[in-house]
Amino acid sequence: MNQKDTMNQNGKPEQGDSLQDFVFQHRGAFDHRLPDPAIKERILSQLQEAKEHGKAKEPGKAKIHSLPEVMPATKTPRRLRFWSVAASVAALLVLGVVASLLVGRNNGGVIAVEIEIVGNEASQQDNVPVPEEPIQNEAFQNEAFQNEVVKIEPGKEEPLREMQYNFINSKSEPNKVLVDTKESRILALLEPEEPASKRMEALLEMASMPELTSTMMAKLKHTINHDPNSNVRSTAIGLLLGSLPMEEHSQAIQEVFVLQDDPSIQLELMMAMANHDTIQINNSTADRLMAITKNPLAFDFVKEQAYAVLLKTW
Amino acid sequence: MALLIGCATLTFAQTKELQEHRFKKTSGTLRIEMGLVNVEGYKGDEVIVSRMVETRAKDPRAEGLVGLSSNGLGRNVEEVGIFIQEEGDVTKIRLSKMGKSDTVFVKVPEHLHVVIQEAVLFYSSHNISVKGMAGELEVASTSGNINLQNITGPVTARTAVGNIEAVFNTPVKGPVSLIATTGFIDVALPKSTKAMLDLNSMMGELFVAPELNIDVLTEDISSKESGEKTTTGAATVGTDGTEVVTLSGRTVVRTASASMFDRFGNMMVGFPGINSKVKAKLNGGGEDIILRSTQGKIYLRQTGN
Repeated sequence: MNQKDTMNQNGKPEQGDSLQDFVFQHRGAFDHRLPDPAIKERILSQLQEAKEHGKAKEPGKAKIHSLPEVMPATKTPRRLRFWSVAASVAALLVLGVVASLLVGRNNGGVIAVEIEIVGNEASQQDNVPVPEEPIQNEAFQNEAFQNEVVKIEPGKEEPLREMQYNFINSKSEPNKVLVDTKESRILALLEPEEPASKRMEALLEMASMPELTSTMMAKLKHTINHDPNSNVRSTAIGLLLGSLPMEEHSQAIQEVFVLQDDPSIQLELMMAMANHDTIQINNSTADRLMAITKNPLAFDFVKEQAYAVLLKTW
Repeated sequence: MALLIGCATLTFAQTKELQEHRFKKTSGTLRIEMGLVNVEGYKGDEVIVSRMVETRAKDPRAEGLVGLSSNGLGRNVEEVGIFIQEEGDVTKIRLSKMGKSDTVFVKVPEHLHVVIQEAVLFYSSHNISVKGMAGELEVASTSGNINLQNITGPVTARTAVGNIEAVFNTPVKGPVSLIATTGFIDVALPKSTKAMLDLNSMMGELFVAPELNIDVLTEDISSKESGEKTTTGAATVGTDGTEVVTLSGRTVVRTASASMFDRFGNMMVGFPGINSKVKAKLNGGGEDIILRSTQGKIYLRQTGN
């Protein structure tokens, strides 16, 4: 009789089997004893015989003896099946996200992205061959990405975000090439959904770069005119003017000035205009200055500075 | 007569009482669109808005309706006189009833991103005070002082007509940008703070605590006209108008008549200002701290710890 059949719900043997009761009550005294090795050998040989016999004549009875061999064989395919399903779902999700980001923004147009691996030190160390030509990924066929090269430094950046940013900006500059991942990260941080501290960090990092590309300059101007935070705009203005040659300052100051509504920034720019020796005030700037002088809500010190610029350049 | 005055006083006292409104907010941004506000961070998960308001009966006609403003639908919390609006992860609070200029007290979870934007049609002096915040702060006031106590940053703050005072009791996190147009900026930092300082006042002067370990990178631009000395000494103004400024043992000499440059590098001929502009490392450099005033002075001191 199977021992399990004689146990009650508490794991104790049923009443009536005195030997079993004795063994159960004195389990501790038996636990340190080991069976004779010969018994183990005999049982194994019997199992082997039964197995061979079962395979030939009675497959049903051999089921119990073959269990240790069968279990791994049945578990492994289940596990593999699970992981294969999981991997397929993950792959589909990733493809879905990429497709929705790239295709959805362009009404299902055609994407052509060239992904070029740069600085692939890890691959070289692992002796993995690096393709000399850019990888043509025809899966992303979109007009907005035609002729674009996205260069990715492995393990350093998020290529998806770079491509996303590249796409957004490609509307204004269709043949723009993002070469530097630092640049793409800075541009992404300047997006309005980022907190002000991140936008500020991006500008300060931009200031440390030896020169600004046309893309960065365009983004900088956009920040100056549209960022909701005056501190960020002020920092961006300083960065823009600092990156321009002095002969272009007077024009740049005026272009920036006409779109600013913060009194601090207005005052600073007007002071720069008032003290600029060779500045020629254009009509837009003059109109803006006049508007400030007539604005009942403008601070007196802002109005006075507007008058000063108008009088100096009249 | 005395009885009448007593009754009137009692009636007035009974018309205003402290009202409170709470709601859960543990992530995202809290945007407070009002001046004269006192914000305090605490270790909790609710935003608690309290305000002294005149006692008023609840409008039975508004029962079951929601508030509507030019920005859309929201919750009109009548008893406190505030309007709350949700936009994604941004929660906006502003006054729905203009009353006496009593301060609005807002307790917020200390790690929340808080934006305080004064929203007034006609400028009046509205002071903004923030205390004990460990999250990001954005504060903007048109006409009022900004007082920041026991904050960590990152922070951007600016005021057109007013002063900015900030005390950091722990080393600064993230960039700090404080801009005052007419007022002064007074910042206190722990001595151990590692930062990259960018101090600029077009018409004011700069003052720093001598205990701070400051290494000046580029001195006042106007000093290029008159050169530098490497002597040490206290900051003085000589009889000939020559000013001597000492920073961490390095002395900059500048003359009051020297040509001035604005922060964009443009020469300011005959400008009667000072244009103090210094970039420096504090304890070897670290987080960016930008302090900028057009007409006011800038003070940098150390906190007690």
